[in-house]
Amino acid sequence: MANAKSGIPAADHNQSAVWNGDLALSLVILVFGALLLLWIIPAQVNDAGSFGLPPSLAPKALAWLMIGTGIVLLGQQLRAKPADQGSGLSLTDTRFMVAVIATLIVMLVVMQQASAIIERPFGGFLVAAPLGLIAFTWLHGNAPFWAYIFNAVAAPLLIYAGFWWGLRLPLP
Amino acid sequence: MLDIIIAAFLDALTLTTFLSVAIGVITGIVIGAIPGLNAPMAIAIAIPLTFTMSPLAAIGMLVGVMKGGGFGGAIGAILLNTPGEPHSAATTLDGHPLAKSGKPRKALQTALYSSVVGDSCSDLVLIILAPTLAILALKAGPIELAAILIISLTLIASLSGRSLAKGIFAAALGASLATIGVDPETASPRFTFGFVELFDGLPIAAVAIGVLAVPEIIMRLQDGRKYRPRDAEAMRQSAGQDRLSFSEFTTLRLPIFRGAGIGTVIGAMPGLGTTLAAFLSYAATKRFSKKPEKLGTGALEGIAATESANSAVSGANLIPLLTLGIPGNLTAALLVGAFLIHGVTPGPLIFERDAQLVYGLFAAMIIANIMVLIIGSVGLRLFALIVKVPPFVVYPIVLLLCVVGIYVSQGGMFAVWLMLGFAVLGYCMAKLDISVVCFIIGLVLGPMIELSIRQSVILLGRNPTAIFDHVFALALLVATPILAWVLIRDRARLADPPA
Repeated sequence: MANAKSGIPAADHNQSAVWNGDLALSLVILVFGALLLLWIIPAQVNDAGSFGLPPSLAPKALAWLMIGTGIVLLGQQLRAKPADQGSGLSLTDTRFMVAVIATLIVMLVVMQQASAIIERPFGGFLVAAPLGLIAFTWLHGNAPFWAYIFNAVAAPLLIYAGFWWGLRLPLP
Repeated sequence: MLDIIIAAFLDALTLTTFLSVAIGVITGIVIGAIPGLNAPMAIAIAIPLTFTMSPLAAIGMLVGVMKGGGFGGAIGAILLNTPGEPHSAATTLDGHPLAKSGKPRKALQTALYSSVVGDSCSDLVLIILAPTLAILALKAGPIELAAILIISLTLIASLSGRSLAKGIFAAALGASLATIGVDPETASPRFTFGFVELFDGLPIAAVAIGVLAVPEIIMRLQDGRKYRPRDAEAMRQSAGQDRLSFSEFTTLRLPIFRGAGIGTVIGAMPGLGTTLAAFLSYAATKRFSKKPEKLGTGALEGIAATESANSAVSGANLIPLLTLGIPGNLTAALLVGAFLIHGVTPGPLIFERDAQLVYGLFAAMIIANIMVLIIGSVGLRLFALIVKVPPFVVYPIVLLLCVVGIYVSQGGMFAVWLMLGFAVLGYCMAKLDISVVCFIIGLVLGPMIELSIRQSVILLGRNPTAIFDHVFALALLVATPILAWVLIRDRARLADPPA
């Protein structure tokens, strides 16, 4: 099956994305391991005053282990045949994931702001949750109108009732 | 000891514990039946809800979720041919053809009864073996424990995902994140970046929901664009009148008990997992069946073999957890998190320090099995309808529940922001085929490995040759790379069979 836009066979196109994904991963692991060893561990772990083994021993050992796995992965990627190469993160996947996470962030910010204005423990939830649920339903797509109404009205009320009246737990 | 066991069983029979287990079983069946959701996700989402409960009620509820989720997964697999977990894929081989032939009730009843029998057998083995093995485990010192932990983690990393290097990286990343918080020896903060909230370490519930549940829901939302409403197939099938007779069930005793045996042995070994148990049991049943050609076309023995095996894994998985503190799979790792949240440390000492709780847990497991049988039988038709709940209703609500659950359990937004960060990490891990199982187990085992290695180094007097005085630990350490090499070689052979 050929890719409609590029004309590249779909399988080849996917394999190319796959190769880049694992190669990038091995480089990210190497950079992360190096950052841990050279910057994060020295800045965040204080070895002064330890009588036994230093607190940085385990983090350093694990950082070296990560660098080792990064080198192995890199070697595997450089030697691998196209058919053996692993999975990858496509631009479409990344865009969708960012959209959902951004929606969640906006919902949480609205929740906090509304809660501060209304000054009730559950005020923010009742304002932001319906908006968030409408957005998630829209992100899913293919949903009929009743689903938006149900998710925006019934679902937040059921969750509120369950947590506040049922479990006596305050919502945001 | 007998008085502790009696007190523990009485604890388990209190209304609160009884209801908690029942709610857990229903939650597990419902969530397990929804395509795309599974038992570990259900446990991760349920952990925050247990914060206000007593330890036994909380653990009992999570055990109920685990056992209910095991059967719930079979509902979606049989009626919709959509397994919620990889091991349920084996159930679809015969379950779905049988349902399609107009016998969905028979298929679901076979799955339910086989699941309960398999689970009960492995629970029995756990109850009999765990206290004895714990006594043996107590004889092991920090050096032996460190060696056992290293070989277990290597085994898990070797068997999870497609790449050993990625498995080890995931476990190392999890263990690195476990070092966040106050150092146990010097009490100096590590990787807290000035946040007081991180002094106690990362909240396990937030990490678990972040890497497990949220990425899965994001992927399901993404699939929503391709969603087409299913026809009334599942509902029409669930109205089928065909029932499993007692005589039919007795003919299944061999595949059921064989599956229970396979599941128990595999479950007791860290890392091997339910999928292997289900498919091994299916293969064994095909091998010994009088009519092997029937398997794959809707044979009851195919369903019985896979369901008894995958359910038997769950009980047996608690053997390494309770005797050594080593979680054998994701569900067990999440249970460790729940134990820790309630101030209980799994391991051999649990039988001394929290004996009443452990025997109460055993009682709760037996109650949960009975509950799965009763609730599953009574609500079979109702649970079959769950697969009809449209995804555009389920996933947005579950996503909101993840946020709310973490907020109420941690009492603030900090953990929710952390959860979002881990959701991004979990999504990337899933797409890049990095094992989340290894990551979570590394996170849970990290502190234990660090402590035992530190104690070992001190006990050995910083002299590496002193390890020769500890033959068992030395043997395990020598076996670790050999085992990893054998597993990698076998995997390479399977992936690249000779022409």
